[in-house]
Amino acid sequence: MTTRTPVRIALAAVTLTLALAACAGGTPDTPDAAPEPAPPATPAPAGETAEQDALVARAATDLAVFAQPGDAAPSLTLPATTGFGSARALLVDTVDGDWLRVLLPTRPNGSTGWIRRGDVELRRVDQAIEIDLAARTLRLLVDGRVVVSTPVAIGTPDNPTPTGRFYVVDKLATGDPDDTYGPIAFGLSGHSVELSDFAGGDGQIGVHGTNDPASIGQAVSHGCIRVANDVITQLADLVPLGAPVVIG
Amino acid sequence: MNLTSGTRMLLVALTLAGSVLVAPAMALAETPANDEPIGPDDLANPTENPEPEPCDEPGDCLANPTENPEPEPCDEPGDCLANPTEDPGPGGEGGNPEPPADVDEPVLANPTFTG
Repeated sequence: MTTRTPVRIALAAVTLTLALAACAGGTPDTPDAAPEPAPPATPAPAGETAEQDALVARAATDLAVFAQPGDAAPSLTLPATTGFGSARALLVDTVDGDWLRVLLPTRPNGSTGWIRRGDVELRRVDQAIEIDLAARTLRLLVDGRVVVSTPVAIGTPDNPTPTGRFYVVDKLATGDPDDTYGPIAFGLSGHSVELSDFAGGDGQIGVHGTNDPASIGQAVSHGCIRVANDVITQLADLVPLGAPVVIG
Repeated sequence: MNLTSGTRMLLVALTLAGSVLVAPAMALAETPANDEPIGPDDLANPTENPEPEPCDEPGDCLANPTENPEPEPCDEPGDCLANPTEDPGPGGEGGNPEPPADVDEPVLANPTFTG
């Protein structure tokens, strides 16, 4: 039996040598390894700079909003649903530990407040809407890619569409394609600067369809953004509550 | 009995000769019968199975390993639920999972936006 151990050692040495040789052949830094061709560079189209992967806070119950993180008492309490019945969704601007700074759907435009992270469910949103007032166009971007681009009607010079960073607060179905707002209307977090109230509301800006398709491309509204009915129907299938809307 | 020295020597010689003849015969009688002859192969390959040696050196037991084999890859869904090696995906690595954003259904309502 003493002759078996040297044989086993010799077999083990041969096996180990073969194994090491096989591993070395697959390493990427092998000089004779053919490099994979680099993918062609694809420059991003101009203007595709809308924010991606936005965070949206969803609240299932009334939500306490604080002026500063750690404040003892809230400065505001938002109901669990909007006045139209939409689920409460807030666009997150900053994450600071257990606190979130959110854009508020209140006047003045651009208002922010702090909420506790534990009070909401966080969702990542890949969709973003960009509205170019000069070009009178709306684009929907998903993961930074334009998936919808369409002409729009905007506010008149006396009742201009406000500019800034907003988000979708409401998604409403009118139930009537011939309604003034068309079949679908998005309510935004922004408000008209000129009008403190309108049609029984508080001057909230919207993106909606229309029963006047000839107005698309014109500056004829009281501040809302009008799109064709088939477009707003398409947007309704793609855009969640809380999606950012940048108007400029 | 008075024997001559020559007679005594003869008796001793006969006794010795008898012993030499009888002993091999007794030995053959006590040896069991062996049906097959013992050849060189039998010496090289003993019929008794020796105890297997422990696999105490690398490569000792490649043909019949007794050590734990390498774990199999998780190449099928559900293969590695107890000990996943696949990427857990967004929100994994112990963090809070973030569900994909749902596209909310519109709420039936009469808008009052700034048409």
